[in-house]
Amino acid sequence: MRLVRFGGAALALVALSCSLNERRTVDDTRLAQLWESPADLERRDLFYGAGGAQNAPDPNELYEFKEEKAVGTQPGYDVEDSKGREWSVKLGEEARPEVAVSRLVWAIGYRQPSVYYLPRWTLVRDGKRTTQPGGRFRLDDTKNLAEWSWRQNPFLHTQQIAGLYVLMVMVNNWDIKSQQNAIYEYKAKAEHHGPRQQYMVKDLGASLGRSAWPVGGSKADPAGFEDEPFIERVQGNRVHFGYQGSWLEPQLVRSITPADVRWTSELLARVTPKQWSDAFRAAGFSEAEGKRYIRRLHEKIAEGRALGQF
Amino acid sequence: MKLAQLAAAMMLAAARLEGQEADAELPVTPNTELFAKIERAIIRIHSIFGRPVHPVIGGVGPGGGWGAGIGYDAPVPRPWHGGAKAIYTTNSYYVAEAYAGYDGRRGELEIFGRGRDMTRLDYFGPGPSSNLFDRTNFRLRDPVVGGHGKFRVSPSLAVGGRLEQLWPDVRAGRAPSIRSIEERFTEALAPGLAAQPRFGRYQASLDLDLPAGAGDAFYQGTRSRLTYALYDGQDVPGYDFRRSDIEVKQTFASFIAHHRLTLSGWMSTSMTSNGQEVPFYLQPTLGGKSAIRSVHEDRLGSDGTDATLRGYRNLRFRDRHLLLLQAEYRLPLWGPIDATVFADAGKVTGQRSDLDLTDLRRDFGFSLSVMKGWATAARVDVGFGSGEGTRVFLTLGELTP
Repeated sequence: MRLVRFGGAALALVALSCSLNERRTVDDTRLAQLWESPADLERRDLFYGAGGAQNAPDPNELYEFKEEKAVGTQPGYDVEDSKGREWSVKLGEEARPEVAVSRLVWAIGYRQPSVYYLPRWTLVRDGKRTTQPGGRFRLDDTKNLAEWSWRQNPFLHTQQIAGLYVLMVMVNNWDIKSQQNAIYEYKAKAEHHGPRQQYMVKDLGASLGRSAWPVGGSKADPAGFEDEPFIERVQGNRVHFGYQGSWLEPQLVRSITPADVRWTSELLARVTPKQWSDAFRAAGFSEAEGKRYIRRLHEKIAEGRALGQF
Repeated sequence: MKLAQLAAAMMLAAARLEGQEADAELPVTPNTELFAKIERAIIRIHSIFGRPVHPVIGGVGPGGGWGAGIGYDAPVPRPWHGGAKAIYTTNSYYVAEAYAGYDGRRGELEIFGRGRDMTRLDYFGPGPSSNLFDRTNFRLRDPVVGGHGKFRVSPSLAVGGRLEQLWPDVRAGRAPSIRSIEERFTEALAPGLAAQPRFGRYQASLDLDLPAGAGDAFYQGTRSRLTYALYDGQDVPGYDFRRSDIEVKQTFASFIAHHRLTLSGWMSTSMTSNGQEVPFYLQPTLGGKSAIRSVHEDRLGSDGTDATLRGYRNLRFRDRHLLLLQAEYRLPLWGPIDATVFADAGKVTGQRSDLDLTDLRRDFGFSLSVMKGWATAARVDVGFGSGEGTRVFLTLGELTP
């Protein structure tokens, strides 16, 4: 009799856990500030990304110096082109991964700023021209209203915020923190922009390498990226990743379910071979480097889609 | 044709030279340079600890203090793993161990060997009423070889086992200001003090994990474990016994985002035939953070810790039977820093019939942790309310001094 009672109680707990396994939802208007279902995913131009070809910077332009970047680990400038458009240029090892990852984030429906990579460009400072190494160009067509926090935001516990974190894990973005997130407002409204105010992960540069805790992972490091395991195990409806990043957000690390990983993996599985190639080509990676990243990402996608199949 | 090619090449070279009117220098502001220096320093430290042969810092057992040594992680492809480490601590404890195993999706298996010397383990006598002023200490060497494994029958259910051969050796304690065990206790009050047999340990276990709800759903999962072990005293008669342990841990979400309440319980009972005893050094213990365990042997514990009665000293109570109930409420403070408030209650008894909810030893307290995703990177627990003073326990990673 005692055994029957115990069994009944255990079954009730299982039923309770299953009934509470749905993620929170928010209305579509609100959600569109973060994510919009990418009905046209397979047709998206991952070479030019969210900003499109029309906004791309011209590598033959002269970029006038405005200001030097004062924070962060990567050097950079604010510059202005001949059309009067202002750009935030990031140099160093984060420039290429940031652009490639931005393309993937945007591909599966998340908001992203207009970012591009120029392998060489010319800076004019005090009338003197210098040829600069490759840099990430972010168009200053938005106003940065505020940071948004991974642990307190309007989309907390939704499928979309969990899916975004899974994507960060898949690309080994180890520097996840609120300071890398921004609520942007477009200065001028355009049809393709979507909502005027948007929630974005703007700084994606600490990606495509090996993650480490608390910081100090590598960036744009194909060998490190290939070596790092993706899914360690699933325990009690929570996924344990091999990924060591996001040290500031342990609650986020502990919140991911197998369904979240499958959701992101299914979206990424729709990216076409040409789009994969375009994303890495746009970021200045060589064809060989791009192939290595794409191969590893496909392995992760397959692992993610199979998750939960016992 | 060749002239045309030469001219084109010269024009291209001239164009390139024109583009390089000045060498490109990466502009680095002082602030950026500082951040970059810090990042480079951390990368350097990571690279030292990330090498196959690397330094290790940690503890060996209760009362041993912190130690340092050398570790080796075998560069074998996943899902295989292997490694070894040797640590020597400030209180002259040492451990040298090696292990190798396989961690698959459905199953895991590991073999191991370990030599360990703990020179000053506390012993206060058996039972729930042992006196703090009867504190003594003993030295335990417990070399062990064996293996353990687990097979997942379903996502929620796993069966496991552990086979070990151990050679315990109890000697006089070496703590300078504390009596040694034989000065205060006899075989009657410390079974196994006179002679220590070689033991075979044969254990089976069952793990049942019920899945947590997504996000901040109220139900955050149940973990439970049932183990049954046979201890076979092989060359000295009188020390055969059986032990069963049941542990349950239940977590709930609070009304506040990311807050969690964990309720946990542990009951351990030992059974012997007539004329047999459970050696004191293999009895389950209550008190503090540390316990004497085998290689890679864990408890479900409370929320992020396997501490027991945190208002008491390590190894404060021990006997054949044990009951522990814990409640712990976790709240994130900032970034990776979490706090918990907790209450512990438990008792040890010599008779199973005494294992009830009366006369429980109680304490309460708080902890601060630096979290590393799922794991705890560092944690301090402060326990009060025991009547035996305030206790502070520091844990670094999975290691306790």
